[in-house]
Amino acid sequence: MLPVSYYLIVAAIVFCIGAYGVMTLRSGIMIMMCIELMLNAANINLIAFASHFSQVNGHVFVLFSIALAAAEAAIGFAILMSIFRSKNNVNIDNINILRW
Amino acid sequence: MEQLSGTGRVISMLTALLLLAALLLAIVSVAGLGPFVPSTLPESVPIDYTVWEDGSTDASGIEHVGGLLFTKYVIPFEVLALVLLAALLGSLYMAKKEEE
Repeated sequence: MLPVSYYLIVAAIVFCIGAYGVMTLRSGIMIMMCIELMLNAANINLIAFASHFSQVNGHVFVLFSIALAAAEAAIGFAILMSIFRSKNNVNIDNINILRW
Repeated sequence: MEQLSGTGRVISMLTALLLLAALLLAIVSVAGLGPFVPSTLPESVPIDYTVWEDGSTDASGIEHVGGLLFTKYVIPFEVLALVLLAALLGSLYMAKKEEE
């Protein structure tokens, strides 16, 4: 069995790719995809430890996390759709109506 | 592709790389690159793997995942159904066309 740190390193790399994307990309859809990347990095960690300790609780937690990610994606894309209707693009630089 | 440009992008890349370095440092210093034997976490308990009717064994522990999902985690499972329903209704409402 691979050492658990290999999985953790992969998860760290995936998380940093997601964080970099959230910081640099300006398209709302790409940002949501990067948020999914970060969520999946957390899932990799959960699965790695679940497999390492041979306990299935982690698998159940990952199932819940994936379902919540799906709900979040649905809401996010609905918000992006309504923004697109009013502004004709999803570039988040143009969306500053909530800025204080 | 719409991306941040100039100094903002450099700062984002530096931040992401710093985060990656910190995470890798933490992982390697705690877990090392070899087999990880923690002192405070539970002992590795092997799952009694599922044996299907044709004699083949299933090392994924999927039967235990299902069992846990409907016994120990049945309340979160049902709450998750409500969360998904709320997300469905919310996204439908938000993505609905504006009435004239």
